[in-house]
Parts: sequence; C-alpha cells; structure tokens
Amino acid sequence: MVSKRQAILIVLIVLIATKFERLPSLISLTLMQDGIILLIVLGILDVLFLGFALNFFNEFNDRGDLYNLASESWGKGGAKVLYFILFCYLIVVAVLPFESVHDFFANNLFNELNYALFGLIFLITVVFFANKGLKTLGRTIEIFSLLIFISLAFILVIGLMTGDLTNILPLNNSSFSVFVSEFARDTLWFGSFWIMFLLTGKVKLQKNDKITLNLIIPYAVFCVFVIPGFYLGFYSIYNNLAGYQTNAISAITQFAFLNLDLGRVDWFLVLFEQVSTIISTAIYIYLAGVCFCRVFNIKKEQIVEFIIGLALFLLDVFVFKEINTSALNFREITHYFCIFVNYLLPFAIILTFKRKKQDKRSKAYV
Amino acid sequence: MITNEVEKQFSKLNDINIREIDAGGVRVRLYFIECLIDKNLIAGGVIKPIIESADKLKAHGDKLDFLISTVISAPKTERIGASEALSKILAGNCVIAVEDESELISVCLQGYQTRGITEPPTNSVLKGPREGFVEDLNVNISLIRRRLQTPDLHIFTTLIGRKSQTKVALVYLASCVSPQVLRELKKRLNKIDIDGVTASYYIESLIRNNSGKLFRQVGSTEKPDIAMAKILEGRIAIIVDGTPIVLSVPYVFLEDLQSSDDYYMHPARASMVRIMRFLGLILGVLLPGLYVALESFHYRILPIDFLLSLLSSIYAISFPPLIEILFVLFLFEILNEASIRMPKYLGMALSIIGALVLGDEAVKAGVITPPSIIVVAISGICLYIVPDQTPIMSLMRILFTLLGGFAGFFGVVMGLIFFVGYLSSINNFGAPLMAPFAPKVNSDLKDGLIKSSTKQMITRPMSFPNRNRVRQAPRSAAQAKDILGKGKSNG
Repeated sequence: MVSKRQAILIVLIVLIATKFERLPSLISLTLMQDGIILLIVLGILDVLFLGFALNFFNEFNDRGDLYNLASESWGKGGAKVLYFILFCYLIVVAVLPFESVHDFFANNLFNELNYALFGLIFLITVVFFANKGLKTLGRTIEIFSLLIFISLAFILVIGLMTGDLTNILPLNNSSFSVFVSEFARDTLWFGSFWIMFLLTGKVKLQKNDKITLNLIIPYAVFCVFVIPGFYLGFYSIYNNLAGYQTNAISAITQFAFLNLDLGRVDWFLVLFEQVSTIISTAIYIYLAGVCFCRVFNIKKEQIVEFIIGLALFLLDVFVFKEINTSALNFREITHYFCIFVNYLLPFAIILTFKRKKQDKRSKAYV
Repeated sequence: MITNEVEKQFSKLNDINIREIDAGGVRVRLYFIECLIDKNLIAGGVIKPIIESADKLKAHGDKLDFLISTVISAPKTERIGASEALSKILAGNCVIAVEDESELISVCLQGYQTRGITEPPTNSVLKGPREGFVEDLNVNISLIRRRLQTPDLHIFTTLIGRKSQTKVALVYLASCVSPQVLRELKKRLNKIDIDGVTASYYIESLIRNNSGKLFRQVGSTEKPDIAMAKILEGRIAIIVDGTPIVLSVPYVFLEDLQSSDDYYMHPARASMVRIMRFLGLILGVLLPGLYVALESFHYRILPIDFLLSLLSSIYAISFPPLIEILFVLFLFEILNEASIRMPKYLGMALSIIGALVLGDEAVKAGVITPPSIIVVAISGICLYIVPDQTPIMSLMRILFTLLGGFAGFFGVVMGLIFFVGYLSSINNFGAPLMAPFAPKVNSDLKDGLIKSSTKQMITRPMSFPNRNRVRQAPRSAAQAKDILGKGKSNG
C-alpha cells in the first residue's frame, strides 16, 4: 500500500519519463512545427482519461484491486484476459524508458558503452525495486521527486531561453491525414493514467478522502504546458534538424552555456531527470509482474519480475542497438494495440464495473 | 545447614571471601568478593553493627528480620533464598548467613572504581550540557532520572549474557512510549542467547531487523541530554552496563543529521548547519566516484579551462583514475586507522609523515596526482561531519568509486537510486528509516533539514509509533489543528 502523496508522485513520474527523449524528435520528423499541436491534443486526451481513471479509483479503491473488481464484473476468465492485455501493454511501454536511458548514456555520455555492463546494472536496480514493491518505489520517488522536477524546470527554462521561438511559426502546415497517422503512432508514449487504474485498491486513504484536483492539476500542467513547452524550446533551437537529435533532453541544453560539446555541465540536470525514467521502468516491471502472476496464479512475483527485467535487457542488447530504426519500427508494430488499451479499454472497464455496482445496489434494495 | 548449601554453589570461586563473626554465641557468616564491594561500607555498615548488637541478636526470635530492620545500615538489604546467593555475590553484594536460619540476607555494597563523568569525545557541544554517560549503569540511570523527575519514567532491567550477566536497562516514559514497540523490544531482548555482552554494540546488532543489515537501525548517544530528548519523544533508551554508549529505538536516519547543539542555537543557524551536514554527507560519498567517472568517461562535461588545468596535473600518471583514487582512499583509511590506534604522542609524527612527506613525495614520484588527493581529502572531511554514519559511508564511498570507475555516471546514478531505495525499504520498530522524508511526515519536517523554533514544535514526532502527541500547549488554532493529526502519512 502507498500513501496518497506517493500515488500522485508515482503517476507524475511515469508521466514525465520518456516524454523528453525520443518522442519530440520523432514527432518533428513528420509534423515539424505542428508537433506542438499534436502534443497538446494528446495531453488533453490524457488529462480527460485521467479524470475517468480517478473517478473509477475514488469509487472502487476501498473495494479491492482491479483484478478483484474485474472478477466480480467479468468473471475470473475475463479478469485474466484483462490482466494479460495489461501485462502486454506494460511490457510494451516498459521498453520505452529502458531504451531511452540506454540511448542517453550510450549516445551522449559515453563514447563507448559496454552493453552487457549497462544491462546488468540496470537489471539489478530495476529488479530490486520491482521486488521491493510499491511502498519502496513510492518512498524513493518521494525523495527524488523534488530533484527531478527542479532539474526539469531548469532544462525547460534553459531551452526556452536559448531557442528562437519564432521558429515554431507558422503553425498548421501539416495535412489532417498526416496529423492523424502521427497521432496514432505516438499514443505509445501516452496513457500514464493507466497507473491510476492499476493502483486501485493499493492506496491508503483517510475516510472520505479522494484523489482529484491534487493530481489532475499538476498532470494537466505537465500535459498541456510542460511537454508542449519543451517541444517548443527544442524545435525553436533545432528547427528542421530537430528530427535528427536522438535525445531531445540532452540536445535542448547543448548550446546553453558554451557553443561547444565541451563543458556540458547541463548534463548533471539531465542526469537527475533520467532518474524518473529509471524509476518508471521499475514501476512498469513491477506492475507487469503483478499482472502476469495474477493471470497464471504464480505466487513468487520476484522471479517473474526478474525474468521480465532479463527479457528487456536481452531486447536492449539484441534489438535496440540502433536507436533510430528500432524506435520507428517499434511504434509501427505497437500503435494499434496502444490505441485500444489507452482509449477503448478504460471505457469498457468503467462502464461495466459501474453497471455491476448499480446492479448489486438494486438487488440489495429489492 | 544453609551455609553448606551456599558454599557448595561457589566451591569453584577462588576469589570469594568468607568472614565469620561470633555474635554472642550466634555464628554469622559473611560472603563477598572483595574487589566488588566497598570495604568501608562492609566494615562500618555490616560487621561493626553486628558485633555491637551481638547480645540482642541472640535474644531475638527472627534474627534475619532483626538484622535487616535494626542492625545493618546499608540502604538496600533483602531476604533471599540459597539459590540466589551466588548471583548476588557476583553482582557485588554481601550475602549473610545466620546460624539456624533457612534464609539469607543480601546487602548491596557495590563499590568498584568507575570513571568520572566527563564530556564525551564524540559529542562535543559549544553551549549545551557537557556531561557524558559513563560505564556504570546506575550512574547512567541517575543522569537520566535527575533530568526527568517524574513517576512516568519507567525503568525495566534485565540480564543478558549467560556468563557475563550484563545488566541492561530500558528507560522510557510510560505515557509516551508505544506499547507495541516496547513489547517488540522486550521480545527481541529475550531472544538473545549469547555468552557475554561486552558493549552496547552487541545489543544493537542483536535487536536489528534482518533486512537492511548494512545500515544502523538503532540510535546511539553518549550524552544524557540527548537521551532525555529521545525519551521525551516517546523512544526507549537502552542502557547497557559497562558501556557509555546508550542506544535508542525507534531510530530514523535524520537523527544522525541532528546534533544537540542545534537545539541550543538559533533555528536559522541550526538549519544551515543541518543542510551543510546533509550536503557534506552526499559529497563525501559521491565525490571520488564522480571524479573517477569524469576523468575516465565524461571529461566533456568539464569546462575547457578546467579540463586543461586538470590534464596538466594528470598527464604524467600511468595509472588509470580508478586505481589511483582507490590507492589514495586506501592510504587515507590506513592513516585514519593508525591515528586511532597509535599512542597519542605519536599522532603528530604520523600526521607529518603520512600527510606531508608521503603525500608530497607520492605526487612528485608520479604515483598519485594533486586532484586525487584533494578529492579524497574533501570526501574524508565531509564524511566526518556526520560521525555516526562515517564507518558505513566510507564503505559506500568505495562502492561508488568502483561504480564510477566501471560504469561512469550511469553507475553512480544507478548506485544512488539503489542506495536510496535500499534505505527507503528499511523499517525497524515501526519506523521507516528515511522518515520524515519518505514517507513524508509534514509535522516532523519542522525538525528536519530546516529546523523550526521550539515554539513551533508542539507535537511529538509521528515518524515512529508513540503515544500522547502533545508536547506543548498550542498557541494558535493552526497549532491545535496540527495536534489533531494533520501531517500523518501512511506510506
């Protein structure tokens, strides 16, 4: 069980992880200036779905976790199917932070990075956290959150101050079809509100206490202002070359202090921001482990979490060595699945669960 | 005869003294160990009065009762059975056997030499009390009792160690301590089955949780004012006979960043000092690792002027940065260990040889570089800002150096996340080690890195289980609200 504050921070950390690395440059490849519109639209959608998720969470948090609720509404088989879908989804989204941390260190901080050593250290850390569970994850996030948010704020300010903001104009150059196809492909990076569904039944709240505006407001600020604002800064610095920067967060501060690739003290700020990415990987692995164990009735979550971590490590070593092609291929393969999980599955869950609850109430009344 | 029964018990004790007195025809035998008792007390308070009242003793029906109530002038006197005689004698009591009586008398005459109360070397203060605990349990209890003159102060004493029979006292305020914590502590103490306890560290290591073995899970102090403050917060002080270090549970990591001086100075100054301690601790642990990572992998981070200056210092060194820093750390640890163990009069010579001659010549010989000496020296000084954490943090420093040397900043960052996560996962006696930061406990942050004034600290800490929240009467409606439970975290 985690506290209300920890739950809020977990969602926010997952939200900001991965949004500032590969995503801005991928969007800028096709949409260029209009990428900011896409990010605002995706952000607004995310806030909207967070509202649904919180409504669900506040109603069902004291009645058990998502699996138990699904068992009541859809039967055990239905619950297992739901958790298997969520397991696949969590594995898909866990690849992003895993790969983006690797990309940052391999392509920016190291001339040559030993893949095996990187994977081993990463594996040990994320599996340790996944094994320790939500409580330790929540507490660790509490300690690092201030550092992460401050470093992100500095990076954002530096980015916005360094670039030529007029580069973002004129807007709305892209055709609607390009916009829609890019929207579909980039849903992989969104959907952090799902964490709130998965935290249902795992948050200790005082009687009559709820999570509402205290999460929605910061979430909305990040989705609608910070992430598009970051894109604005990034694109205004690199303009048409933005798509060739593999790691936006590292690139955005490159010309802030010196016009050289030497004296990059700004990388310290990026390092703190990377903590969010590393921790969010652990959160995904932990939640994926929980889902898998529920589906196959496995008692020892630790072993499953270790295997998931190992699978991601192998994926990183053998598949994601070439960041550009692998990221593009990966989103091509997964985007339909992500659209389904992000924008259809929540409705199915909310509607059927609430209906079941109403049925129960009316039966009790009769 | 009871004397036969008693004497059979200590037939193997060759330092026991037996003194027989003929008190008007009644034989009285005194058993004691000379080095454990006060000779003046036994002569003036026991032997002399018995001889003087010999006539009356013979006439009295209940001779033991007569001796206890009328004759012996020692303050702590009691009737005991024959089976208790040996333990009483070994504890520094005098046992008296009277002819034809089935019971014995035990007179407390403990009188061994102890060290005087002095300022402890590990907890010096500028403005606070200078008294320190000593090795004697009774003196230590008196130092606390004198400061907390309330019947609410409870003292539970137990013996630990099959052979040492070391007295261990739990001191707490009954109205403030959590019954669960007290029960758990007693349970863990009861479980201890060891031949002897030479110092409080034995108890510390035997009552800690299995998880989080690497880090302290029990607080410690040498100063009665600190122990008193902890007891007032609802903690339990554990006093072990024979050691001046008093333990306390529950313990949170923040305690080591606090010093008793903080409470005797302006809160603004105390806050600044605490932040310095915190940053110093982080710098002390991470600096060698960051230096090695920078020099080995990420020299592009350094501004060009600084990089050129650094390169000019290190160009002649043939060792890789990791080996060089490990070598300097190794030297530092050796010098540190030698300065502690070496006789004090050799300390100055050691400093000159170690720091000046060895350091200077090693640089000239090209074995190490000046930057590495500066880095290790800064790190070493920083670690001693928080002396209670120095031993374990110097180990961590080596670990981070290795991580920095093998995996650069990635290793250091991952190590840091792992380290914080590991600390965050530790709970002992219901207290999360990293509270009040993780889980965040708002009310306790008033005594966190930023210290509020004493006026504002109206409640007891909520980071660990205790009872009776109110420490001071609230001065405002907001403070009253604070008492009613705001700030409680359950993560």
